[in-house]
Amino acid sequence: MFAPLKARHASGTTPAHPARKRLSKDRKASIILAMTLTLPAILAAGGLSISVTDWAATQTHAQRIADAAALAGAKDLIMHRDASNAITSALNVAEMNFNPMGYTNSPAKIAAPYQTIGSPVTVTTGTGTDGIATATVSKGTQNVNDVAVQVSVSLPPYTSVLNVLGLTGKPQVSGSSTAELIIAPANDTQVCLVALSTQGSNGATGTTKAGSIDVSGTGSISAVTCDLRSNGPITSGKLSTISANAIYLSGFFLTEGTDVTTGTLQGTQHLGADPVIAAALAYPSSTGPTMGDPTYTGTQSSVTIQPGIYNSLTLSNNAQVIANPGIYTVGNLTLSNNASLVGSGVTFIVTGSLTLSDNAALTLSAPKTGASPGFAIVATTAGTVSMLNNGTNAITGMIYAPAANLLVKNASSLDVCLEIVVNSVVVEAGVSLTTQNCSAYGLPDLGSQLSTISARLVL
Amino acid sequence: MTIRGWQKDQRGGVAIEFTLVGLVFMSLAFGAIEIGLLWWLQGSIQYAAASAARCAAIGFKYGTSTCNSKPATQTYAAQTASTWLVANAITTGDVAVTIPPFGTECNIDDTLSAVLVTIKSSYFSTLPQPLANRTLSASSCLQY
Repeated sequence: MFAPLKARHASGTTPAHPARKRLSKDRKASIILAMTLTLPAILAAGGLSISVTDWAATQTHAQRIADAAALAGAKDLIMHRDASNAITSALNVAEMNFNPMGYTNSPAKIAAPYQTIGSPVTVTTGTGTDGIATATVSKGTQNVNDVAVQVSVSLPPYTSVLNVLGLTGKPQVSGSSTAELIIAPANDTQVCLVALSTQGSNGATGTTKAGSIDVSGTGSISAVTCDLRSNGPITSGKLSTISANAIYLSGFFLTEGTDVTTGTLQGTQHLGADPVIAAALAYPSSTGPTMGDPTYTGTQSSVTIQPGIYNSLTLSNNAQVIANPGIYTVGNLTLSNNASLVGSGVTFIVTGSLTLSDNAALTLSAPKTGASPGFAIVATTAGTVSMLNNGTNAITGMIYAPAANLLVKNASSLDVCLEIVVNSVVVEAGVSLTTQNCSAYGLPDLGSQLSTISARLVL
Repeated sequence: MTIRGWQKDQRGGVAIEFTLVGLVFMSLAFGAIEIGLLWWLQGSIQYAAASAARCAAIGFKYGTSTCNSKPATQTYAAQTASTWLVANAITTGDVAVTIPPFGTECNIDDTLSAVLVTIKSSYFSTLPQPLANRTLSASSCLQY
């Protein structure tokens, strides 16, 4: 297929050796040459991708093994309170997760425990190794008084395409995880605010998540002499403050906005606390004569009302109403436009809605004894207890609305001796919700907080 | 030249052959190399996203891991990804850390919170064709 050699010889150039001449002119296998030059690059790139993907998958596997083993060790520690037992459990779980088919249940090599740690859960420290994992029982990370199980997993080197090519070392992948016993200690301190909802105030249908206790903007909750308990999340704004003697939390704490480190939570947090199941106090009984559905309005001088059963009670436009002592059962209780309701030794049982708006003011104190000791406001149905007024609400006693969402907005404040038991509570910007217990006031006892222990990953 | 002579003439055959085969071959060769590089990038950012989501889930809840804030999580993700690529291949600007509203992403259990880490990278966008201008994305979402 090439030009005849003889023709080239006739050109007058120095004749080359015929074999070398043929080689220089031979274009056969040129593709092989190109392949030879590009193949290393193709293999290197392909090998790199396969290796990195494989490496990442193995690394993830190592991390999962470490997570599972650490949790297993911590849960064993809760049950047996024995470091050697916990280490053995952790190492066995690690081995089973690594190679189920080759699981040999070989005994872990455990160093002698040497130090007693932890309070109130006390165990000895220790460490052990078995195959791919090392497990250690030591002081907690989140709380040095807690006990933690730390597991490190190192999977053996694996062979990759790059290893074959000799382009990289043999990477050893490893994972490390720490599970800690999170202890919520028993506590007899009186509770000021209980939120019973496990799902937050928006419930299952809302797309904007608000906690069972939600404080937004510059709002604050101050309960420095008593505890908060929430069965669900507590959420707060970046400028919000929640202060309490202690905060028992079955859900999580989350500040809104862009940065989880802002917002202030003062008081010892006890995550993983048992939910409050039986804050269910009996509702006071409705008694008294039927009183219809009176409406009070205008600048008339103050009116005194008597205990009984009202279809509704409406106060508006500067109405001033004084409630004589006793139990008032009201369908819908509505105060608006500078109206005020004042009562001492009274309990308002609201079976419909409670709505305060504009500059209405509510000043109520509960009876200390009798049929409804400690209860100031009771809401028996689900819905909203809306305190949207700009006036001052001075409630002495308990607001008991286990199925309702309590809204506290604008400049309202709740003060004096106050306990609140609600499904959820929303405290908006500028509101200072101050709750404190007056133990001598006859408020219902919500019971002690029992100690709980749970195992959580913390590192 | 007669038609018969043109048919017999084999000069330039190699050039034509190389043009036809070389185009296909080079496309395949470059394509294979670029797929490898992009796969490397994808694997790295996927691992970094998963690792950062785990770190944030623990850090947001307990404040004990290094990822106790969104910026800290971005830094962790960028550093992890760059470790698997080359230094500074992924920056914090490539990493987005969000708390998805309830009902979106993995935030389906409303007794828990969630964190979503998304890493987008156009680190290999300057590659020649056939896989030029590629932006890869990886995300990982965890409830805690």
